[in-house]
Amino acid sequence: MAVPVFCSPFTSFFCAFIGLWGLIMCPIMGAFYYSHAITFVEDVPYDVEPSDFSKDDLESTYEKVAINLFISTGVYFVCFMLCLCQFINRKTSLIP
Amino acid sequence: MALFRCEEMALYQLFLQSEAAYNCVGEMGEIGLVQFRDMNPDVNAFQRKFVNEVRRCEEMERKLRFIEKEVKKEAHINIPNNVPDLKQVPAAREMNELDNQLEKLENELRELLSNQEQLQKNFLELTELKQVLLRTSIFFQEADSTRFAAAARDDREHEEGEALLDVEGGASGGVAGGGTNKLGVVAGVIKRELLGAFERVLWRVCRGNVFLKHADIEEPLTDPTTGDSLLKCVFIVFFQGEQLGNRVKKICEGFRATLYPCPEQTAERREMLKGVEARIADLQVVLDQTLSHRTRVLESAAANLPLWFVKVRKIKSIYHTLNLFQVSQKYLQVQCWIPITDIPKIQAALDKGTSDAGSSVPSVLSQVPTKEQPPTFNRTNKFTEGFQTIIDAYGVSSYREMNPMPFTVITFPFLFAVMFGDCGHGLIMALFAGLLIWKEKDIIAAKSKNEIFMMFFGGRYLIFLMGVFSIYTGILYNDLFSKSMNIFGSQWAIPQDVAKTLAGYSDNTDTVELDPKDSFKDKAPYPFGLDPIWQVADNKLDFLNSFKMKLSVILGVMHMLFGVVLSLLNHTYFRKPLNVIAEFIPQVLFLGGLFGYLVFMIIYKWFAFDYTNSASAPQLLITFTDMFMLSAPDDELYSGQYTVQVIILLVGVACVPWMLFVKPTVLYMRHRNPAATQRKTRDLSTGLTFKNLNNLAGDDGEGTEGLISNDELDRENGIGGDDHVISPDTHGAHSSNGNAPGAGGHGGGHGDDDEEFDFGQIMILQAIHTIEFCLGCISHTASYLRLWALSLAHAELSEVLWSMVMSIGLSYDSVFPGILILPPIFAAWAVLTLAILLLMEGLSAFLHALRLHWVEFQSKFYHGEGHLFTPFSFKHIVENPLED
Repeated sequence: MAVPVFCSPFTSFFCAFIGLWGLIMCPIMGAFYYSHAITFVEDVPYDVEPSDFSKDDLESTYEKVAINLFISTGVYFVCFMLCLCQFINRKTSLIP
Repeated sequence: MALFRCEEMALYQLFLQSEAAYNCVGEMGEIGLVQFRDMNPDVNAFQRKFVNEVRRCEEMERKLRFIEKEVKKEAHINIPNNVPDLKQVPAAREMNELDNQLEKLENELRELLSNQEQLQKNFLELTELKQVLLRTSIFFQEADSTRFAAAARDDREHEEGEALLDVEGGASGGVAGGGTNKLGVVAGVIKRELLGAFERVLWRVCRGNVFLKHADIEEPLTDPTTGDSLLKCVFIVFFQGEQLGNRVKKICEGFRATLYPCPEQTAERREMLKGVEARIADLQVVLDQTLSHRTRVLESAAANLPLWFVKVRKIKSIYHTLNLFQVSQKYLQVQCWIPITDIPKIQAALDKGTSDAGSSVPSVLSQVPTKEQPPTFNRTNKFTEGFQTIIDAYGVSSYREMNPMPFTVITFPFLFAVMFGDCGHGLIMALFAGLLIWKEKDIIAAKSKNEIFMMFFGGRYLIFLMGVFSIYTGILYNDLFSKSMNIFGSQWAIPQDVAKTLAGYSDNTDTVELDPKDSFKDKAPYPFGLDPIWQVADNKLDFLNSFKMKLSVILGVMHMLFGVVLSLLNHTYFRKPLNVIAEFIPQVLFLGGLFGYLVFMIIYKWFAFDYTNSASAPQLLITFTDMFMLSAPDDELYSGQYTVQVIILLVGVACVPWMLFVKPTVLYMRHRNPAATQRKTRDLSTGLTFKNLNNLAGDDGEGTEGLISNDELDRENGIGGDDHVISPDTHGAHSSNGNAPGAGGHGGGHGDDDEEFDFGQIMILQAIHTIEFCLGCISHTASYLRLWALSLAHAELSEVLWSMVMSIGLSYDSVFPGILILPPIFAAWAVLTLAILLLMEGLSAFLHALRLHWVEFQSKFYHGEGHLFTPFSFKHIVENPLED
């Protein structure tokens, strides 16, 4: 591909690695958020009085965060592809 | 049993015929199983026999380095990196051939280099001349016009209208004669940075009577010797008079400006210019051809370069080794350490070497009796090498004692994982190591010089196991990047009546306490690992701390008991029943009795008490302390506890004088009556008794000849009373057997027959040993609590990182600010996880697990006083060329 190379082989490998990690972890987390996993209950932005507590609202908040995670999966996909192209274009060995 | 102990070694004497010596030593280098001893330790390096050959090899290496440097100057020529090792000994005559070849190559390259330099110098001169000719035409034209103007002005004064410069075919350009008004010209080229100073000096020296004009040369010129590009400019100086001319010339010399003859007439200049351009074109062609010839020569050399390097190194190392031999007229001899199981291989290699050299006399291997401690040779493969390295880093195992390495393969990653316990981090670690393992062939071939990377690469199997074990303990601790996984469904549930009242809770009570009586489902625990409910519980640490501390103590006591059991295996192997009775048994009783009882109490308390009667469960720490103070317990764990504890305590206390006094007393009594105690023991120095050796002789039937006959040996040893000495390998196996009890009778006891029996020394050593063990039991058990401490630290760091970093990214429920913030936050969290939790914590847990092995585990059985076996091996020499 005719993508200009603008980072060192190590940087591109590292960013590709982070991209891959995000690519794998974000959809998994998104799936867990979508299925209302209790494990994330402290990280969900649903902060109301106990009297106003509504289970449906909680679940919809869960789902909104899940959507966020799925979109960021897309962002990481782009990042990963970009860095992978950089790395392949370099054609140099990663081994320092 | 070579896995649990190091290889059996023996000292052999090797006799080689002079012609066959080179080839045989080469074959030894190929198989890499022989460690030669220096037979001439007092001889200077320059007085040894083969010093000339070594010198020649070093000369060849110098030539090779020169050629390599030349090749590297041409960036586009690649030196092949991975050269397959042919596993062949280079023949002795190859050295001559290689020497000649290298000499020819070096001379050719040097010639090419000097020719090239000369040509480039000429090229530079011609280019500068061309520039001078081009620029000075302008100067002359200007001078012409000024001459006309001046002539017009001065016509009234100078009737003759003599030209300042004779343009129309007058006197040739150059210095004007003294007395005439003709101007002399000097033209040349000078470096741009020197121009200013040059001008000033000219002005001062000639008192302003010279006229300098200059113009820059735009393209930079290459200096032939250094290869730098320089910016120069053309200058021309007009002066009047010979004196000034000489001064100007001297100044030009001082500023290293090159002067060129410049004809004043335009026509001459044009002719010269044409000639110069033609010569430049020719020279360019010649230069190109020279360069391409040089490239061809270098390319052909580059292809062979690694192979030559390897050959020269091998030859040099062979001669270095031959220098260790004791030389006499017909043969060379040396002493060497050989692993006994490899003797057939070595014999075959020697035969091959002898036949390659075309010699008919076979080489002779014969055993030498010795009392020295042989080197420790642990045969490892690529998997076990990493573990053996970390054990050897603390101390190389003594000859034939238990090698902790096979056990370390499992215990080290396990203890690491107890401290690291996180599925996600373990997964990343395992994947990283898995990548290194998958690509190991490529990485080895790349021969990286980066030390840190090579360190990680060397431990790839170790790191892989650490990662896999961490995944396991992560599942047990139910920790995945500080979040718990709810696989089976939690066994805790909020009971109905509590749930109904939750809605009426006011703000300041935001915790609910669940009583296991009502909330714990089915009275059965979570099937595997920690219940996920604990992640959202406030009192998670109260529970987990107690659990992990107790677990650490259990693991610690088990590990230490295992170490003590290994010491039993050592005592049995070296045939020292005194140690078994005087050291092993009291150690086991002390450690197992006191701390094993603690472990028993921990496990018993886990089983005996549940949530119904947990309020009445006695505190173990108080129970343990009460045991030592012999006070009756208020709450009993079990009936009869007091009696049992008293018995255990008394036994433990009795073990201390047992460990302290029994062994020295017995040794003292043995020293008094040596005849009463006959025993065949194995010394640490040579692990073979007569019996073993004869078995070997019978099995292999090697064609080795004895140096000393059995009778001579007996006479030597009979008085000394050692049974440590191995008799040489003879075919008369049965005769040695008959001598064994005789020699053994004189000996008996441990290695202190030879020296004076120092009771005070032995007593002190024993006291140190006892105190070290007893106090060590307590301190080491407490030391194992670092398993708890580090796992707590890791879990807390992981949780803090999540709640401080990742939580922020997840706290937006709308897409708009959320999607801008979440990806960078995730990236930041990922990088911090790698840096802090994986690298820093990983290194920390590695270090502590290593310390637990080195100090707490190995102090129970390991001596570690051996030295490594360093065989003469081409593989090692070729891979590490700088260690010579």
